[in-house]
Amino acid sequence: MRNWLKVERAKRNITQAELAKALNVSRQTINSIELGKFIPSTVLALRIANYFEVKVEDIFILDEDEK
Amino acid sequence: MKLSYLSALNQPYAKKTGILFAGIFILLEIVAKLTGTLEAIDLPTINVFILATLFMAVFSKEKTDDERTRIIRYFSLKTSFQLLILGISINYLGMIINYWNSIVEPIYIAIASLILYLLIFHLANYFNPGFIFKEETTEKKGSIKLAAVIMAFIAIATLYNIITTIIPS
Repeated sequence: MRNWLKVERAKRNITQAELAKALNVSRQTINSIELGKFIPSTVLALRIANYFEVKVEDIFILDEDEK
Repeated sequence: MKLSYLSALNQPYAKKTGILFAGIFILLEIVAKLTGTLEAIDLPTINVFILATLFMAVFSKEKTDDERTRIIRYFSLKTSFQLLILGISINYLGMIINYWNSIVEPIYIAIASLILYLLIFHLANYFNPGFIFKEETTEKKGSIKLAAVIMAFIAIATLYNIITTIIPS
């Protein structure tokens, strides 16, 4: 699964630490998600999308083989 | 003891306090052993203090207890617990097959497993290895075979001990 979390962060000029604090997670969690190492739970994905005021599928995209 | 006393583990200072005092007691024991002044200290009491402070450090609440931290914590606890059981089993296995006369004190195995948990947790948290977060979708046949071999070895060693006990030399 790919994600555009880094792009959304860059659009709003937010650091990983700031986003982590807003979502009440650790900075390493945000970093892990951006690197594709960690797949967030549904709740966290929804909270991320809600924070950026976009849809979940605009941030998190399934790969072709995962569909 | 009131259960509310255990809520102290939820405080952020519990982990640092536990690690600090565990370090002091471990250092005290090492210095006593190196200088040959082991008789001057109450070793069992020191070991219990080490165990208690490490317990406090390991089971205290993390500063940020999000889902990624919980996955790493689960992996670290699982690994250290497996090694704890393995350590105790090998320890008693050695005694069963008469390989060594005295067993290692189980408290040292318990202390080692708690220290191992702290190392695994913090290293995994820092280096963020991807394999911890991968979902295990396929059965790992290799690990099952290894477990079966170990169990068979323990069973054979136990049987050997029983037979040698029954049959007079």
